[in-house]
Amino acid sequence: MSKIKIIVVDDHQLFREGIISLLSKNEELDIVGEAASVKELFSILDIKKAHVVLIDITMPETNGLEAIKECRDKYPDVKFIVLTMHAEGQYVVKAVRNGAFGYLIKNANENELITAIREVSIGKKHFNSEISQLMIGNMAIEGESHKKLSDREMEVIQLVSEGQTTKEIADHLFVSARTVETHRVNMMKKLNVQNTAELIKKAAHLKLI
Amino acid sequence: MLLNKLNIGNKLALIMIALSLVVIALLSSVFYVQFDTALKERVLLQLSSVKQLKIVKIRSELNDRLIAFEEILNNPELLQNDPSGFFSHVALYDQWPEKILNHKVTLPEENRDKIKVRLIDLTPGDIRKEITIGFVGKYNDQYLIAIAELPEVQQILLERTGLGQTGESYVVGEDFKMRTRSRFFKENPREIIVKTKGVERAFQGESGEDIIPDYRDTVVFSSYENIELNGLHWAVLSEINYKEALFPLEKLRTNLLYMLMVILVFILVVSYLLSRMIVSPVVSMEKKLIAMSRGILDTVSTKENRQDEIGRMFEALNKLVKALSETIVFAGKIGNGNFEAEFQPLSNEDKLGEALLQMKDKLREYKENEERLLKENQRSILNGEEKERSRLSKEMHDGLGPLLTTLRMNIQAAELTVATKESLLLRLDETIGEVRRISNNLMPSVLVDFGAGEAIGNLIDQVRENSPVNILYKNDMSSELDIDDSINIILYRIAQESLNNAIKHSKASEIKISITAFDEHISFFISDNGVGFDQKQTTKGNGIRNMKERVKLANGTFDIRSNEEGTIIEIEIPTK
Repeated sequence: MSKIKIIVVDDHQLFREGIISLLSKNEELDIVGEAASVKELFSILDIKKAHVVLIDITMPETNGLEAIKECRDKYPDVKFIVLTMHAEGQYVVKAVRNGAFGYLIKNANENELITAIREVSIGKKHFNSEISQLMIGNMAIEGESHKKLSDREMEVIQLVSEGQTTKEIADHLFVSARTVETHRVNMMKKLNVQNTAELIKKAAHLKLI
Repeated sequence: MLLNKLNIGNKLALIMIALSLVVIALLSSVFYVQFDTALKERVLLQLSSVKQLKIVKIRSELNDRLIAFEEILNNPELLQNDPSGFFSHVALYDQWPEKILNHKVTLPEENRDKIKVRLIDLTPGDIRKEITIGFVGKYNDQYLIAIAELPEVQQILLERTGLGQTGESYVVGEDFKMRTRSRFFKENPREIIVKTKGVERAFQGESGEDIIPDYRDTVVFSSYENIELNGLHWAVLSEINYKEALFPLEKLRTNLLYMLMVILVFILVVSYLLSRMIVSPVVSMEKKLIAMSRGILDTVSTKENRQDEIGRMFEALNKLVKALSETIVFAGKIGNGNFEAEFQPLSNEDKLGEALLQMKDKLREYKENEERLLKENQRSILNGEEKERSRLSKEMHDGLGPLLTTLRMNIQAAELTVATKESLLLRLDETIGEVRRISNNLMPSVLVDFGAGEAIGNLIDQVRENSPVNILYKNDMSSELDIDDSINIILYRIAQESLNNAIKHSKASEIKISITAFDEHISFFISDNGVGFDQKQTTKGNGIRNMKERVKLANGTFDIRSNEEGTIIEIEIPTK
């Protein structure tokens, strides 16, 4: 069984050394390189093969998440595990979207780190329950819409079609009345209509409501 | 010049008085002269008629006697018995008698035969002081001589009707001696010599009237005429004292003077009142102008609606006052910093108005500059502060964090007992958590990396953990949106502040927050169902003032409404 080839990317040399000393004790793992920046990582990947890259997010010049995205096309076989101080869901979600296979907070235990590397190296994704929670909490807010109208606009037009007044809608959506008005105007622009009646008609026609 | 020192009222009065005095004096003197002439004419006419009457009467008396004498002359038989009884003595003389009775009968020799009947004035020789006339006629070769006394003549002349106190009529003989009694001298008239111009003219055959001195050397109106009858030459004069005759004139003059005085007083009063009437608006205008020069601006109230120059002056003055007041109001507004104040210059030459408008523009410019500078200053201070927070946050997160995590790994790798290791790791994890928390408080990295929408979401998540309040949050910021860090920071700080206020002070059970991105602005909305607060009180004002300041610096709008049902804050910040 061949060893798992690992590259550690972090702008803190001390941290890199700590990780490397921690991982090198394990016989399964082979640290093939270390990089202080994304640029260095790419230059290593150009000449060496690696299975798993442990990458920090916050680094000078390019940040880790951007690097993952870029590598998806350049080095599709390399699997990334984000190892960062950032414990906010947004980072997790973005890491997953960009193609990361795992996400670990830097104060993770040695065992978990090794488990993660092991799982990721065979193509599994590793997110522990804490990270999963963070991710799910933010996924709800995110979610891309490919519809003609935004989610909020959909809500507004729904309420408009139900005959609610601007104030009622504002109250319902806890936005200001002006915001509701702006939404309405924006929708009329998007659907190329002149007034609210036409707006509802057109929305119905497009089966938006 | 003295006239310039007088005020207008006195000048007017003076002119009016002078003019009326001239007119009155002129009229009075014309009137006086005419009256004088008329009076003199009348006096002379009267004297003439009196004189005429005397002459007629005297002539009639003389004629009566002449006729009686001629009758005797024609009928000498009547000689002894004079039927008329006129004559005190009638006799025929063969020769010219030098003396008859007591009278010397003087007649030049050559005249004795030439005439038929001749009258001789015998009065100078009459010892009884009566007027005595001798009648001489030729009867054949004899002289018929009769002597008649004529006290009637004296009687005629003593009738002084219409001659007043000083008027008299008298007869003067050829010897310039008075024949009849004088009114003024009680002595024998035959001793009074009357050689006046009137008498002289009468004896020269002139008759007429004149104002001349009489025998007393008193100036009199005199009418004189000669009586010539068969050799008898008398001058008859009617005279009256000049003074008495012209007494009405004097009276008139006195009356005129009185009248003049009355009129003068009247004119004085009237001209004073008139001039006051004319001048009083000028005086009030003067007062007005003096007041204006002291800076007191009140409109002048004219009682009547005058259309004359003074009325128009008041109108112009009021216009001026109004315009000045407007200018002052305008200047006051500028002074108070109201640069939106409108002002229309009074005319193209309104230098003050122009200057004020310029001042307004300059001041506005200064103020705007100052505000801009102040804004920039505040912005740079705030930015500096945020930058510092950001730097500190990063230092802790990215500098201290890795050191601690490295330390953690070192501990994990160290040869320690399990218990010690676990205790150390626990402490270390706490430390790492604290560092993360502090860093996050200073400036969340999500704010920079994912924007205000996400950062506020995280903030709310943290709050939810420690507060029972139900917080609803709608994030309508797309993460792809490229919004300036400073705007994200402002939005995040406002959210922090307002959320903090709502949690700490409002006692709300529900807080609703939304943030919505539009093409050109971001709208932030927060409402709570708490107790609200008095916006006038400044106890919590600092937080609100901070929010306001931040929004203002970003050129946004800040709207806050608070009552006992809760508080609503609406903020809009332009992104372009």
